[in-house]
Amino acid sequence: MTKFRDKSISFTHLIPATALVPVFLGIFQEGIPDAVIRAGLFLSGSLICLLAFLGEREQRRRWRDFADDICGTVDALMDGRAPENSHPCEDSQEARVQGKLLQYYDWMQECQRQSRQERQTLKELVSDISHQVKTPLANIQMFASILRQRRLDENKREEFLTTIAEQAQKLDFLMQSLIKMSRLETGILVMHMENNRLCDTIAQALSGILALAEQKGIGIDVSCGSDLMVWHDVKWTAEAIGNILDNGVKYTPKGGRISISVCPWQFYTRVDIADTGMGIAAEHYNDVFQRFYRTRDAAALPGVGLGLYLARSIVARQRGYITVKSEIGKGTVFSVFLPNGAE
Amino acid sequence: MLSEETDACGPKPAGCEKGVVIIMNEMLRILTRRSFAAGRIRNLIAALAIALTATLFTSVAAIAMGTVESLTLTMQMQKMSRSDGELHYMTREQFEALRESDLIETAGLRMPVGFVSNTLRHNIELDVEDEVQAELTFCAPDHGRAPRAENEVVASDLALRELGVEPQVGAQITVSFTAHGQEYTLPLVVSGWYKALNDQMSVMWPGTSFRDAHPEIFRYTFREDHDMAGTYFSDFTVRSTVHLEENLRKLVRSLGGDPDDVQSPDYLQSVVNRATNARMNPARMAAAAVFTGLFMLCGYLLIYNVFDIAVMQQIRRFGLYRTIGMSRRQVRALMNRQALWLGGVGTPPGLLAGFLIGKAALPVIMSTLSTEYRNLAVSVSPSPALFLTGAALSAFTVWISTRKPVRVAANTPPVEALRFVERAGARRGSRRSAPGANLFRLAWSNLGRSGRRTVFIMLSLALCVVLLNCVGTVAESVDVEKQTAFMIRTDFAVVNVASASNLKGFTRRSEALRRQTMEDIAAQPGVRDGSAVYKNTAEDTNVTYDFGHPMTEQSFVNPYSGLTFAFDEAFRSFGLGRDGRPMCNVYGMEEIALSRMDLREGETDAHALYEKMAAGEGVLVGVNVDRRDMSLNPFVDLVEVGETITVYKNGQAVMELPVLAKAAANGDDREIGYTVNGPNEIGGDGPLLYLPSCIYERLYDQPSVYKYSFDVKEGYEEETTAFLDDYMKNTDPDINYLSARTARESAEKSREMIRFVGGTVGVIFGLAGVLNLINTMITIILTRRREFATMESVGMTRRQLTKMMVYEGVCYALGGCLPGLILAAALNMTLVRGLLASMWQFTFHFTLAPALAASVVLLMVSGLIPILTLRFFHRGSVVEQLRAAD
Amino acid sequence: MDIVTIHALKKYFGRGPGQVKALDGVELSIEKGRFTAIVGASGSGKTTLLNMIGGLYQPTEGSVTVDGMDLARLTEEELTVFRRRKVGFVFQDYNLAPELTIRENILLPLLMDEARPDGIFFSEITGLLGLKEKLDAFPHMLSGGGQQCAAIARALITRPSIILADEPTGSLDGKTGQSVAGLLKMTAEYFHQTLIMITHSEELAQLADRVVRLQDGRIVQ
Repeated sequence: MTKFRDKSISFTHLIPATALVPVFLGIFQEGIPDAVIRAGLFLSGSLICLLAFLGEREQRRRWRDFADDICGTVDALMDGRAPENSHPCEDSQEARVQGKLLQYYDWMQECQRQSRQERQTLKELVSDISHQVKTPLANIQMFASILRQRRLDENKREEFLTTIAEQAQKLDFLMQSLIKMSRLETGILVMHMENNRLCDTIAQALSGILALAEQKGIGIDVSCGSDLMVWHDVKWTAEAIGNILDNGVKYTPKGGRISISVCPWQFYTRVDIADTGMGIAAEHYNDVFQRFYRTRDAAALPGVGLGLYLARSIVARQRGYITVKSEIGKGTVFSVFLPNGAE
Repeated sequence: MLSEETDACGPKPAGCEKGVVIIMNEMLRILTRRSFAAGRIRNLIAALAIALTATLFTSVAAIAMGTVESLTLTMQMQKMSRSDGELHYMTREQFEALRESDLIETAGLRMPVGFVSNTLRHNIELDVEDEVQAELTFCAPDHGRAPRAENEVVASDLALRELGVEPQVGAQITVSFTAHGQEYTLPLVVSGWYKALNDQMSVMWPGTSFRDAHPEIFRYTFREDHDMAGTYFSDFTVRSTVHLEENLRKLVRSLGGDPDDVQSPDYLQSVVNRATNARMNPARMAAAAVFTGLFMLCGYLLIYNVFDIAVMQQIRRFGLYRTIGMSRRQVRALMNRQALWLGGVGTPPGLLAGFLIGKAALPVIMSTLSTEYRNLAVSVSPSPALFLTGAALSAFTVWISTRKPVRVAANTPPVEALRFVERAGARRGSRRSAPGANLFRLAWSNLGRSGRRTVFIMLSLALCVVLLNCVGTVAESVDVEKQTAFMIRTDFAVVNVASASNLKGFTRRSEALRRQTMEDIAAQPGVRDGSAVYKNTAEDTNVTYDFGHPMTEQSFVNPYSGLTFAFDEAFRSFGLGRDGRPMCNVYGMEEIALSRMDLREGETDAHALYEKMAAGEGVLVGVNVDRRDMSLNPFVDLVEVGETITVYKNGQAVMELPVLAKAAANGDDREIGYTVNGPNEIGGDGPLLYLPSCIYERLYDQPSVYKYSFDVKEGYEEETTAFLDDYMKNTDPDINYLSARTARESAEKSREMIRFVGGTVGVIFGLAGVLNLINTMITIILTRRREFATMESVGMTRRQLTKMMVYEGVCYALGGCLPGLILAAALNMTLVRGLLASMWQFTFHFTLAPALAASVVLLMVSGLIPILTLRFFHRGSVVEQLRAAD
Repeated sequence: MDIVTIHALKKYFGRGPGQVKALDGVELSIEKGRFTAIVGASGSGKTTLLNMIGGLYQPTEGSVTVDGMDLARLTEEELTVFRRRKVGFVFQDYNLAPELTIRENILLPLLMDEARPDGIFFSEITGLLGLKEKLDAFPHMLSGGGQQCAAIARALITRPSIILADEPTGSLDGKTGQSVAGLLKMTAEYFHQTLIMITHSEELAQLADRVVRLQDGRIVQ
C-alpha cells in the first residue's frame, strides 16, 4: 500500500513538472520564431499545470470525504447507533468499505452474543453435570451408608459393593466424558493430524468394545484396505469411532451384527458403521447427536448420552462429518466422513 | 451447538502461506481476452464484417476523393491554372498592393505581351512571369531553370518545335510579336523548358529582367487603348476560400478598381478559378449522402447480426456474470470493449484493402469519364483524410450497430439469461422428436427463432437483389441510340479542336477548317455526302439580327469571346454585334446537311425548304431540344413560324427573312456531340439560324467552316477512322473528329460504368447477406450441437441433418429473394421509371433478369453454405457432440 | 439473530388463467450462521424462494429482508451489488465461466467489485476445497465435483452474508454429491457462513441444522 501511494505521489507531481517545460520554453526560448507558437506553448503548459493542481485538490477532497465517511461509520458503531447515510448496496468503494465495517461490527456483536450464550450453556452444563452426577453419587452414598449401618449377609454385601463399584465406574465414565467434552469445547484440545493407516485406528477403536460385544454375542465384520492412509488424528478418531461402536453394541440385541466398511471417495473417506439394533426414527436423526439426548427406548440402558455428541464434535474438528441412516427395528448406519485432503 | 462456535471469535489460524500471488485488477481486460480465446470463429467473422465495412467506406471514399482530385487537376490543367483566382489589367501599384493584401496567400506576376506571330499551328503567348506564376499555371521548367538574364525565356516543348528547334536548354530562338502597335523581333535563349499541357497553346515566359530591359513594351496605356501590354495580371491563391467571390470584389475596390462596370476606366477583372473552387453540387452531395447511408445500412446489417449472434452465444455467460453481481454498466463496458477490440483488429486491414481497391477501380471509372474530359490526369493519394473518413465512418457504424445487442446483453434478466439455452433446447427437443416430421417445414419453423436476425439476413439478401435489379434496369435503359443520334447525325464529323473542347468551342475565324483538309477528306474512298457547315464567329460582329425580342440594359463581357452580352427579363443571354443587336448563332449549310435535320414545324419538306431559303425567301430556325422527351425547349423557343427576322449588316437592314420552319436542334446541329460551348460564346440563347451556303457566303465577309460532316459507304469506317487519326496526327493537328461509332462507344461506356458501380454495390450487399448467412449457420450449428446430437442419437442420419440445414439456408434465401423480386419489380415500375424519365439519356426498359440471376446465385450459395459449415463445424461422433455441448 | 426474514411472500408468474403461483404466502426466518435445508418436490417453489432471497426476482407481494435490507426497496443496480457482496451462489450445474481458469472464476465476484483479493483467505479456501493444484486449469478439465468445489469457493470468496445453494448435488452422482454437500456444509461452518441449500434428498437434508419443507408454494410442517 505504501509502495502504491509513493508511486501515485511521484506521478501526480510528474505531470505539472513536465508541463513546466513548455511553460519555460514559451517564456525563455527565443529560438522559437513564431510568437503565436510561444504563447501557445506557454498557455498549454500553464493549463496543464492548473488542471493538475485542480485535479490533485479534487483528489485530496475525495480522500478526505472518504475518510470522513469511514470515521463517521466507525463512530456511529462505537456509540451503538446505526450509521447514517449507509448505502451498503451502492456500487462504490465507500460503500464497500462501509459494508465491510458493518460486517465486522455484526461479527463482533455475534461474538458477544455467543460468549453470553456460552456462559449460559456452561451454566446449563454445570447443572446437567450435577444432575447426572447426583444419581450415582446418591447411590454410592446410600449403599455406603447401608453397608456401614447394617450388618448384612455376605451375599447382600457383595451385591451392594458391586453396585457401588458400578456406580463409581459410571461416575468415572461420566467424569472422563465430561473432561473430554470440556477439553473439546474449550478448544484446549489440539488435533495431531497425521497421515496414518485408517485400519489401525479402527482396530484401536474396536479394542475398547470387543469384550462387551463378545459378551453380548455380537459379531463384528471389518472391511478396510490395510494400506488406506487418511489424514487424521489417530487417538481422537479412534475415540469417536469407538463411541459410535459402543453405541452400536449397546443398542444391538444379543446375536446381532456390527459391520464396519471403509470406502475411499474423491474428497472424503467414508467409514460406515452398521448395526442391527433398534434403529432411529428419521425425525430424530439430528437429535441423537445432541448432548445428553437419549431416546425413550434407550432409557433403560446405561449411558449418559454424550458418546455420539463427542464423536460428532471430534469428526467436525477434523473437518469431517457424520450422517446417519436408519430403519426402525432393522438397524442403523452411521457414516463417518473423513476428509482426504492433506492441507 | 456450542463447540463449533467457541473459536469463532478467536483469530483465524493463519495456516495458509501467502503463496498465491493474485494480481488481477482489470476484470474487463481478462474477460475480453478470454472471450476472444473462447470464440475465435465468432470473432474472426466479426472482425471480417468490420473489415468489410471499412473496406466499403474507404474504397468508396478513395474513388470519390480520387475522382474529385483527378477532375480538379484535369480541369486545372485545361484551364492552365491551379490558382484560386485571377486579377487582370492591374497597374504596378495595384499589383504591389495586391501582394500585400490579407486575403492573398501567394500571388504570381504575369505581364502579357501578346501572341508570338511567327507561328503556324501552335499558339505561343508571350508573358513576363515570375516563378510563382509559372508554378501556378503549369509552366515551370521541368528541364533547366527559370530565366534570369533579359534574353532568357522558358517555353514548352511544342512551342520550341514550332519555332524550329529541339527542346533543349541553351537553344537559340527568334521571336516576333507586336506590342503597342510596334513589331518586335528578338533573339532569345532558352533557359528551361517544360512539357506542354495541350497542343494548341502554351506560354513562353521571360523573367522580370526582360521587362526592365524593354520599358517601351510595358508602357501602361490600358486606360487609353485597352492594350494589355503593360498591365499586370496575377494568378493567386488565397488564405481562405470562404465567400471568395465577395472578398475578391472587396479586394478589387480596395485596390481602387471597379469590379463590375466594363466601361469604367478603372475596370479590374477578377475571376474565380472554378476548376479549383468548384461550386458544391447539391445533387452530387445528396448522392454521396445516399451512398454513405446505403453502405452504413449494409455495414449495420452485417455488424448488427454479428454482435447479435455474439450476444446470443454469450447470453448464458452474461447471465452468470449478472447473477454473481456484474452490473449492467459492467456488461455494457465488456461488450463495448469487445467491439472496440474487434474494430481495432478489423479496421486497419479494411482501410488498406479499401484504399487498394479504390486505387485499382479509379482508372476504370475515370476512363468512362474520359469521353467528356480530355487529357485526364488520374491521381489518388493515400491522404490521412481518406483513412480518417473510412475509419470514422466504420467506427460510427460499429457503434450504431452494437447499441442494441449491447443493450440486450445488459438488460436480459440474469435468471432468464442463465436458462436461455436450456429452455429453448427442451422446447425444440420435444417438438423435433415427432416421427416423420417434414424436414422443410421443420427448417422453415426454425427461422422464426430469432426474428430480427432472420429479417436482417433476408433484408440484406433482398437489398442485394433489388439493387442489382435497379442497376440492371438503369443500365438496360441507357438509350445508346438516342444518345448517339443526339451527338451526331452522320457517320463522321470533322471539326476544329476548339469545338472538341467543352471549355472552348468554335469562336474564331482562325479556328476554321482548312479547305485543303476538306478536300483531302472528300478524296478518300468511301466518303460520300460530305458537307461543310459555316458558322459565324466572334469576329463577325457586323452581321446582326432583329427578331423583335426585348432586352434589358444589363450587359457583361464574355471573357472568352470578348463579346458583349445582354440579357432579357428571363436571363436569357444574347451575344451582341457592333450595332447592339443580337448576333445569333448562324449556320450555313448545303442541302444534304439540311436534309438530315429534324424539321418540326412549318415547311417540313427539306428540299422545298432549301429551295425557298436559297431564293432568299426565309430562314430555318433551330430550337434546342429538351433532351428528356426530345421536344422543343420552350425556354429558347423565341420565334414562331411566320414571323420575320431582319438581317442587318454594318448597321443597315439588308434582308427580311420570314421564319419558314422550325427544327429540333441536337448537339450536332449546334456544334458537335456534347460540346456546345461555341454557340454559347457567340449567340448565347438567341435563335439558331440555318441558312443555305449561298446566302451565308453572301452575307458574311469571311465565311468560316467549323464542321465537315460526311457519311461513309458500308465497310469503310475502319479505313476512314485510320485515315483521320493519321491525318490529325501528321498533317493537320488542328482538327478533331467525332464518329457515330465513338459516340456510341461513349454512350455504352456510361452503361458499363453504371453496371460496374451498381454491380459492385449490389455484390457488396450480397456479400453482406452471404456473410450473415454463414455466421448464422455457424451459430446454429454450434449452439444446437446438443440438439443435433440428440436428434442423431434418436435416429436422424447425417444426411437428413444436412438436408434440413440446406432447407433452412434455402429458406433464408427464398425469404430474401422473393420479396426482393417483388420489391424490385415494384421499384422498377415506380422509382426507377420516374428517375429515368427525368434523364434524357435513358429510355425506361423493364427487366427482372438481373434480380432473377442474383436470386439463383444466392439460392445456390445459401444451399451450399450449410453443407460446408456442417462439414467444418459438426465433426465427431454423437457422443463427442453431446459432450461438447456441455 | 435472523439474517433472512420473509414475510407473507407471494410470487406469481404470468397473468390471467395461465398464471403460476410459485410462492403463495411464505413466512420464514433463518438464523444467522446456521445451515438450513429447503426440501420439496420439484415445482414446489424451492428455486423461486431461493432466487428471491438472492435478489434475482422481485416479490409480487410481501417482503424479503436479508441482512437488514428490504430487497423490494432496492433498485436493479443495487440488487446487483447486493448479489455481488452479500450473496454467494452455488448452482446445480456449477455455472462456471468456461473461458476463465478456476482461479479467475473464483476471483470473479471480487474483480467485479474492483477489490484486491486477500491471498491468505484465497489459499485457505482453495486448500479446504482441494483446488490448490487445479487453479490454472479450465473448468472443463475438472470433474463435476471439482467444478462444484470451484463454485463453492467462488461463493465464499467475497465473505458473503448468505450462501445459497440450488441443488448443488443435482448434477453429481451419489458419492460425489454426498462429498460436495459435506464440503459445502463444512466450509460454511468453518467460515461461519449462513447456508441455505435446496435439495430433494432427505439424506442430504439431514446435514442441515434445520429443514424447511415446501409444498405448492407454502411452507408445511
